[in-house]
Amino acid sequence: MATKTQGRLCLWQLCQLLLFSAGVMSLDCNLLHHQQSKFNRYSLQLLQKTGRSFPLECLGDLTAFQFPEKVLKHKFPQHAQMAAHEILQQLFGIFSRNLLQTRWEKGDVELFRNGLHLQTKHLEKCLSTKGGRPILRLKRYFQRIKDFLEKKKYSTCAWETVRLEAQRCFLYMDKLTVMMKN
Amino acid sequence: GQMNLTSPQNVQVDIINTNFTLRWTWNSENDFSVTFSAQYQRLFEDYEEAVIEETDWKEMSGCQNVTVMECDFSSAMTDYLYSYNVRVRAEQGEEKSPWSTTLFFTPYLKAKIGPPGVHLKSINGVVEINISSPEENLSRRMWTSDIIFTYNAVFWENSSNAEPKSRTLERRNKIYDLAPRTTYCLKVQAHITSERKVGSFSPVYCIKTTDKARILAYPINLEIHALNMKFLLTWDNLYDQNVSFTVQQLIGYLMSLPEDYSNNWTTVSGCENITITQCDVSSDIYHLGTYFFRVKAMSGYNKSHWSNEIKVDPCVVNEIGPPNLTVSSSEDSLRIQLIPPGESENKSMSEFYDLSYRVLYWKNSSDAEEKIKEEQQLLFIISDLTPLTWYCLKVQAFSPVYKKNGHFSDAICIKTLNGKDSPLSIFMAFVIAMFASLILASFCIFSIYHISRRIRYTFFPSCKPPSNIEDRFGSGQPFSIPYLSTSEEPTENCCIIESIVIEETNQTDIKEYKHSKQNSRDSGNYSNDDDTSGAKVLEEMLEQEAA
Repeated sequence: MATKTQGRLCLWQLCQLLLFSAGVMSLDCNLLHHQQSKFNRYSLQLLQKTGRSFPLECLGDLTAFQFPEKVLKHKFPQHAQMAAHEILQQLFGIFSRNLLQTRWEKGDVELFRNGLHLQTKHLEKCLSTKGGRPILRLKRYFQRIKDFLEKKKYSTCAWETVRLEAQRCFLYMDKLTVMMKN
Repeated sequence: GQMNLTSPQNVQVDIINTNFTLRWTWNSENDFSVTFSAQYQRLFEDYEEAVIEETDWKEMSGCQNVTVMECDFSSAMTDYLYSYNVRVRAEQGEEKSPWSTTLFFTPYLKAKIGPPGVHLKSINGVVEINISSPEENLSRRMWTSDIIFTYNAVFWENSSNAEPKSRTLERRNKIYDLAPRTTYCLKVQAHITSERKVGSFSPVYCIKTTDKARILAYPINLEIHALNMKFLLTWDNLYDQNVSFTVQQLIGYLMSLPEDYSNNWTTVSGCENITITQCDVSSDIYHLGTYFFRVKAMSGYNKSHWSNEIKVDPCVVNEIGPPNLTVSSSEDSLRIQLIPPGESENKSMSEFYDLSYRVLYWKNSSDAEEKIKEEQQLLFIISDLTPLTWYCLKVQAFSPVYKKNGHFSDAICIKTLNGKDSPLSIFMAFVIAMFASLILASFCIFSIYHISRRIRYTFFPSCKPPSNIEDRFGSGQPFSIPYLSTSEEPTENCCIIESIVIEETNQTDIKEYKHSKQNSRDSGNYSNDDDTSGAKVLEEMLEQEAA
């Protein structure tokens, strides 16, 4: 009985080890930009598809969130990857909460979140430096967006404004993706 | 007054989640009448960090007149993404020491991650581990994103001396296949991979597993097999009796959110109450995103627990099938045209992967060595081959990003051509022959047309000479007659005229009749219009005879 237990436990651990290593080994970090650009295109399409064009009655809510364009001027691919990871992670955080007042296609939002989640994890496995100070700029930018949503009590117009800003984010993502090439 | 008091030394800030502690040292520790006060200022960076402003120094709430050498100043901090300066001084009555050196810090970068919450449950031999984030349910949060953390658990069997093992956990986990009535212990820590931050461990939690449930066993060994984005979930058949299965699916990101997702499992369409141990789960999988699957067994009113959950990252799990190919050969090269895998099933793998293609080719002889050629295009030309030789080849698609090699196509063998009969020369010959025959044919048609027109013009002019001219020629014969051959040519048109002649010229001389018969036949032979003219001639002839 004891050996059987031991055997089972070992098998369990072996399975975990395999699962874990499979996750780590699954993507080539030097070539990730190929896959990233596919993802950007797909996400932008989903964002556009999920709602209609920007409602005219929300024009008053348009806000300049001031994307820190400095992050697009880093020299190293690692920094671009880091910035891309931060953008996806933050977008996931924003689009996972308080969406009740929007009339967006539920299925599209689900797919959008699920994609963001997976791609964040893919990028995470490839990060070779720590975020540190340069990433703070991006965090502040997203903090401005979150504060805006909160101030506007997550109204439909506030969400439409943020959806528009998220589409802009994916245009920046395209630039970062190009920078991710070695 | 006189500055007798010395400044505090070694000022430092410790931050765990959103709990801020200021610490310092001071040399004459025994003097209890000395208190300490701290000040702070916030530094403003604009969004491009081009300008840095400093606010005035403010008194730090929570760190005024403290008698110990640390204080909690969490309430003074509001913006964790901006930077602060802090300083401390000692005070005794009216006497104040100079300020300590200023300490600069940015809360987010300085902060450490606190321990996560761990909740263990043991049900029917299965252990459930639920993890809550280090700041769950707190209104002030340093770590704002729900997916910022990965959780690492260290676990061991309590009674054995085996080395503790570590593994990453989801927020919610079910651990199957543990030994019954055994105590397991674990502690968990949170990581932020992108910041290289490693959190502190939770306390150690232990739990004793129970006996396995004496109900229908849950399905085990769930596996997902995918080819060209068709996903087949399989599991083991453990059952003697008639059992049916139901498969459920969960969209992957929900596992990372703090909310309870147990109501979000949905039954996969076509995988409800099935009696085989496999099911096609492709319908609800979208390739960019993870999914979880679980299976339950049912026999009459007996139901098993849900199986363990299998996680599917579609593009990683999927296998790429072989591409379709058409091969043609010339004297020294092979031309391979590819169709991406899955294209025939309307799921082209080039939509999902950055596909490249690898051709393996070899001479079809015993000492053949394989050669490899890789391209991103769908057209391969393998050149510098020997003429009149059999070559074999097979092709696979592969994705460099996913480090994934597709299945090879079946080997195809083809013979290179003889040098003289290269496809190009055959093609050229064919084209020239086509042209030549085309020209010849059109020349023939043209000349036939031309000649026939000439003949008609010469022998059968459309204008008829006036009847008085005809009369001069005697016996009413038209111009054309002297030139005509008189060979017997059978025609249908003549029959009508013949019968007319026979009926209407009973008394006519047979010679004359014959003559006119020839006449009418010939004119009727060439055109319908001439039929009537021929008939007119006959009528005139008859009139003459009657006269």
